[in-house]
Amino acid sequence: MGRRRKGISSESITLAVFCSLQIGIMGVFTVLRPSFLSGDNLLGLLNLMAQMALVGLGLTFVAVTGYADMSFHFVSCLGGMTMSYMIARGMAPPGAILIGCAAGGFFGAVNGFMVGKFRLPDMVATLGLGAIAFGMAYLYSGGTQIYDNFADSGIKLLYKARIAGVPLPVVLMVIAYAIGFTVLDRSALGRRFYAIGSNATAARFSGVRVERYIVAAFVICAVMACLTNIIRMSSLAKGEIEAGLDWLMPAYSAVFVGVSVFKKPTVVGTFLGALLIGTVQKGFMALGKPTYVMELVMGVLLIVSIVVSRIDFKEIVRRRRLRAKIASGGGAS
Amino acid sequence: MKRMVGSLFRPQYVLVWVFLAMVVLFCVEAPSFRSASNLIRAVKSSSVIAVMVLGLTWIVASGEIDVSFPSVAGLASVVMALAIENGVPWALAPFIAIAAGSVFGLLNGFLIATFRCPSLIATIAIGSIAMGAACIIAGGYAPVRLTSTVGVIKTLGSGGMGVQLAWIAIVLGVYLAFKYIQDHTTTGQHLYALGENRQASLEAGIREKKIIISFFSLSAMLASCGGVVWVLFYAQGVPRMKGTVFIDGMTAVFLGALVVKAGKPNVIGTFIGAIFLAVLTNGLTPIGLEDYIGSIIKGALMIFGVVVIAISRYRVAKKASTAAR
Repeated sequence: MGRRRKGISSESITLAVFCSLQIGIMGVFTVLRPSFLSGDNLLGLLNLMAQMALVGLGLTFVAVTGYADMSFHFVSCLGGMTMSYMIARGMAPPGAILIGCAAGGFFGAVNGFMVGKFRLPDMVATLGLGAIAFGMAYLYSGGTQIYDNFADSGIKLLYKARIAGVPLPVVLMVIAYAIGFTVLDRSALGRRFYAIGSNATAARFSGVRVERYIVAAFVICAVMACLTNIIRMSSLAKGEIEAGLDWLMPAYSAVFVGVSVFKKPTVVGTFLGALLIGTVQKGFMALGKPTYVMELVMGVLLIVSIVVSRIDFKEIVRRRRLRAKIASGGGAS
Repeated sequence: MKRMVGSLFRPQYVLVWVFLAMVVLFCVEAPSFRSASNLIRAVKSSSVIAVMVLGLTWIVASGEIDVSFPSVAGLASVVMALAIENGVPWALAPFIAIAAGSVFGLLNGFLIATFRCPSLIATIAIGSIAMGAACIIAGGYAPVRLTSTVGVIKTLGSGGMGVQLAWIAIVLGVYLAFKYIQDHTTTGQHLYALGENRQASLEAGIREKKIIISFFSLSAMLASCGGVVWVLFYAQGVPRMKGTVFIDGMTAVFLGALVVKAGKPNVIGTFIGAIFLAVLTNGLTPIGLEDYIGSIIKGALMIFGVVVIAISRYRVAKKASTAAR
């Protein structure tokens, strides 16, 4: 009995708390709206969380290496507008999407070089580059929305297409997470990212090419943000500059809800975070609440998850046992 | 004499030279830049930003970050606008707005000091709550406009050069008071000690929790003041501040860090940074450039600033190591 108790780690207790939180929230919404658990609605939930999950996955890589990226949402504006401009010029959607993501990747690489190679402070440097990217996003249209060719170029399929009944963004999310999980959690490559995050100097002396991995992390982050914003624009059916600005919060929320479960940034954690936030958002949408309520909900969820992760459940259980022991022991003697 | 001239070209004055060059360029290139109305516009926008990020300066100096200031300012502006619309006297409304905003700062400080939450994450969360709350009480993303601008608000918002000069004097006064605290009291010492080495300052007995909580409350309070000033100037409460407010605020602080104390955020630097940004924003249109070029220039300046600091630190370190040998 004692041995088994030792086997339960604090981590698994937190995980259990989060799973029960997730199930509890779903339960509440099911009671309020019985249709919440229907297949269509659950698919809608996955579709809603797919975008948040994709941008969060990119940010996870940067978070794992121990840096902060304050530019990916600005860069995603540029990526999205680049794509819109290419579509308006009559390019085929796959090419436009690739160029949009490549533009983002370039800025990610510059971020990585500034932070990894030249050791500039991460927040200022990335914010500066973000401001540049945001300004450049205006170059295509001077600030107006881009509608041309969106209706008949097929770019809307990126959001609308279904593969065997599953929306394309969800398929993309599953593929991206499968790759992300394999790379970060199941390969030597991923261990090196984590090594840099825990001690960059030690990683360098162990023969890890630190700069390369940092550049890679920032590139992945920027490309995923651009891809997400491109999906968003295809769902809006227009190129809208400020659309990308909304990604900062969901991405950090998803990653850090995950951090509060596993105590470090992980692919699975980010997925759980996106799932939790997505569930609550979908629930409020089902109840007919306006979108700005989501901001509030996301903030509250992030804080709740941080606070929960800081509570040491093991310690509480131990103390309660101790108290019970003292009480019963006192009664016997 | 030679030494004095040399000292003018030290890294911490680079920004001042850039600023002067910019002003001369704008004045020569665009006569409309020199017009009174444009100067008033510049003063307005710089005082809003300057008030908003004054608290942020100290937070960044102590090694933390606060990204919630645009949302808190937005919330305060909405509260202020709605309060006035619903018949609260204009003298009372700012206090309600500032109190409402300060609550979020207190929450920030509490999360960071008590739960040891990274300040970026805590302020992102609190910022999103503040923005959600602002949208809920405003009933959407649309700005809350004041239907009638009367009395003091009208004077402040559309007053002439005299009123604007009074404004700049008030803001400068607040900044000088903060400079005194920063440079001549133990609080100021503790602030930079925390930024320099967290562990060492804890061991030395600095009460970190108290300082962190009070700084974050102060930052939210000043951000709310910024929101209030916004309502006075533009006669509307904005639940969702534009992305440029965030960039401007951060740029003012980080550019300001270049001036006076090379590499460390300080209040006088932030003031110069805010004026710098206002001149840049208001000078671009008269010389025929689009607004968004400003964003690119700001970003480039920020990166340029960090590089200058990094190089000057590297040189100092190299000098120290050769001297040691």
